[in-house]
Amino acid sequence: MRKSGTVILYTGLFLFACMLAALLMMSDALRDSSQFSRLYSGLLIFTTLGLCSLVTLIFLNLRHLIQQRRNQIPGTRMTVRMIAMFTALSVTPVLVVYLFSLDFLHRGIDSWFDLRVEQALDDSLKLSKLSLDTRMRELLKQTNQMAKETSGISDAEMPFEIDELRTRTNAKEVTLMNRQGGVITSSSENTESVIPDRPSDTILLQLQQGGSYTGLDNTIRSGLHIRVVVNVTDINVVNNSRMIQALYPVSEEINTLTNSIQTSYIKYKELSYLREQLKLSFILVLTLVLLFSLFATVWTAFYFSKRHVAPIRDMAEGTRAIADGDYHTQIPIPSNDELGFLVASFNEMTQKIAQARDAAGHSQLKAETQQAYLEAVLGRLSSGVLVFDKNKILRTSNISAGKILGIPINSVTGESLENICLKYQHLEPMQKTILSHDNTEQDWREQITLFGKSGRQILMCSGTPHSITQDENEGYIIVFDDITELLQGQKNAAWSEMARRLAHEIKNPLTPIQLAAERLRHKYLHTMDQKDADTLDRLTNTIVQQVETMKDMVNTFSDYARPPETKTQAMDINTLIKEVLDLFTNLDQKTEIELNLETHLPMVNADVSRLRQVFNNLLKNAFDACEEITDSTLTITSQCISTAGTEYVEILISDSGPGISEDIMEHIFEPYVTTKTKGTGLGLAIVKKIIEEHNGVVWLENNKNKAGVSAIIRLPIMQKQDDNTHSNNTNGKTGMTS
Amino acid sequence: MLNCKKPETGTHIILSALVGLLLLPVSTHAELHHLQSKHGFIVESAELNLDGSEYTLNADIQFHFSKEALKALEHGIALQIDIEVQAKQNRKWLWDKKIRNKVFSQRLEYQPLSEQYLITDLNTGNKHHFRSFQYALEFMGSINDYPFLGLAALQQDKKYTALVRASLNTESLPTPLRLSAYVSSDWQLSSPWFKWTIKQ
Repeated sequence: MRKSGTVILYTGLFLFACMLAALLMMSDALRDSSQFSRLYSGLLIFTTLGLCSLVTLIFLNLRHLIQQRRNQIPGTRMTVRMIAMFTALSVTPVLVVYLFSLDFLHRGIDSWFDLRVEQALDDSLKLSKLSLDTRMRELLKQTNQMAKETSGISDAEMPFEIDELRTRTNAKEVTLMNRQGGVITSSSENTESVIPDRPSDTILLQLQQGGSYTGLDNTIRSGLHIRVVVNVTDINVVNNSRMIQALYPVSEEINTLTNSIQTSYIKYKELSYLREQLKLSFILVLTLVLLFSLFATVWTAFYFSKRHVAPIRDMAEGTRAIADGDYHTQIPIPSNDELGFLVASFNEMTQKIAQARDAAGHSQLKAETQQAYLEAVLGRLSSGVLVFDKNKILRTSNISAGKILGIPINSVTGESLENICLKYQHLEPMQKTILSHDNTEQDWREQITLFGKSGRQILMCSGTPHSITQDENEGYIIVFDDITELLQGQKNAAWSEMARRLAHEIKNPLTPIQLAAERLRHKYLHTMDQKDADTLDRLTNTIVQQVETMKDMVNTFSDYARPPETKTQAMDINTLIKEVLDLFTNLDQKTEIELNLETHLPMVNADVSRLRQVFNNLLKNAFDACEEITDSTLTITSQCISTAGTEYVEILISDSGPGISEDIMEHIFEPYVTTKTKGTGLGLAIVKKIIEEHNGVVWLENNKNKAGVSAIIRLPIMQKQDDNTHSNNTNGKTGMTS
Repeated sequence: MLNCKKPETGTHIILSALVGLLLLPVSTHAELHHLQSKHGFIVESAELNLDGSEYTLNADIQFHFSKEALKALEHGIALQIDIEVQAKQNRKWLWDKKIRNKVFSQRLEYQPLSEQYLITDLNTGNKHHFRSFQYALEFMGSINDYPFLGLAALQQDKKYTALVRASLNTESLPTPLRLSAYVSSDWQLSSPWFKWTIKQ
């Protein structure tokens, strides 16, 4: 940009110099003696074309300026103002000078001409003419005398007389000619010249018509001289057809004076004739100079306005770029003046802003990285984390918190604890706990029980106040874990331990009791009378029977407490259901059984004997429930269901019995919870334990549209052979998410 | 001695076009005036005669000067008359080829002291005085035996055309007068081209 600007400047200066030179030469060309007179036309063309070029340049600049104004380019108004100021400042004085120059021009040229001078020149010319006329009349008289003298002389004698005639009359050259102009004889002062000076055809014609000629001629050889030609009236000569011409010299002084007068007169007459043309030409040159000055000024105004406004425009664009976030904008420094200093300061400012922005960017990136790292860590935590600020507004949370609390945690981030608990009322115990520790600055840990959609939840919740500065409390960090299953596991483990020990302790004395009762009967039954024998038999039988019952009970305890020893294999659930059902249909024939088993049910990987125990317990419960009901029905359904891309085998055993109250339903899978009078209360606990060992889920629910309870089991299907390895690893997860 | 007139003619055409455009209304008015007046030059007759091995020009030209030109002459301004002669080879498919171009220039001026008109042949430098303006014009219009073209310049099997015209040389006018001479018909004095076939 800067280089092209310099080129434009130098080109403009060169053209300016050329135009100025052309105008000077034009001005000089108006003088007659000027060497540029011959170039006048070319100069006029050049200056006209130069002016046209300037007008074109100005027009292009003006059009560009208008476009910039329309596009609201920064600096346009300033450019317009500067150009207007430049133009106004230059036009006014130039116009004033022009008008005064015109006036002076008119006056100056008019002052060259004066009536008195003109009269004097006319008079001097007349005087010269009179002086020459007098001389010419004398010479005519003298030549006529010479013609008379030669009238009696024949052509043959004339060469001998003519020299004497010329010498006597002081003529320069005397020539005797016939009427056609043919030379008869001649005598000349100039001996070098052989050919005499002939009069022109016009003079000859004049002589032929009987006249005579006297005139001031300017010949090549003689310069200014008086030519006199007269006819020779000759009586003796035949045809009377001769004429004589005499050339008389004009004295050098008269010659010089008359030439001077004639030249001055012609010059003055020429000038007076050219007066208006001269004025017009000078006005033309003056106008060209005026137009050139004006156009050059306007163009210069454009050029310098652009040059001065360019850094301001650059700065405006730079400022806009900074506003748009580009802090690396650097503007070329135009010059070493104040504007240059301003631009340099602007560049320094942008540089510092860019550095500060980069530093801030780095810090932000670092913070974002740390935030991402923190989120990744929090996301991987199984514990729920909630961070509240001092106004109890949730600022940060992790995915586990949402899962544990059963709320869409992202949608509530940014809301206050109070609003969150208004939306999700099951979180009220948590709110109470957090608020109860509001004023404490110590860490706290507390167990909270929530009742949400997934039922009763026990959370171990701990809170820590956090602060950026040491003095001010900025909020709380709440960390919590769902320990429901942990507590349930502990409870189950305690029950298992208790059952194992109880079975061991009880089973030990039962066998001696049974053996003792049988021995007592065997030994004393036949020794007693019939009556006593019957009593003994009845009593010992009761002992043995009760001991057996107790053994069964203890064995059941043992089964519950025994660690799982599963031997899994691919099996068809439908086949197992049919086998187990066959046992019960023989015992209870009044219950109507409806079998809806899906054909081509996928195989499951399970321990057959333990699953048989599951179906045995569930079907026994179902038949027991239907025992006192007339028109009882039992529906067994098996099907393959697919949820979120995961496939399960679902078995539904639905009876038409009295159902289970909601109070008992919550604890129905816990040991010793039963609705039957004869039940041990361990059947469903064992069912749940076996199903969970197979990564499945089981639950009971009262039928919605009819009486009775439905037991629902979901077991993961066996994965295909090619991804067995993967299925072994993911079995547990698949089973849990269903 | 020949006058090379080409550049002057070119410049004159460009300048006339430029100034003519600027002063179109004035020019139009001047043209009307020209039509009304009867000034101008006419080539009455012209021929090339073979004189030995050279063709010489003989022509009869009539000069009718405008009032403005006559006024300028009376005020001592010399008028230069150019008689331009061309020989062209005729061509069927292309424009004619110029084989010779010659300009005979004469200067006409008035001498108030002797009240004579002086004609100077600018090619030879010869001067001729005339008391009568009419005689001066007759002399100037009578072109007799001006050597023009060598016989060797022509080929027997080709046809040639000769052209002649007379015009007032405005470039020889005083500089202040030229500006109006460029645009005024009073000064645009020129005859049309007079053409004839050169007999070989």
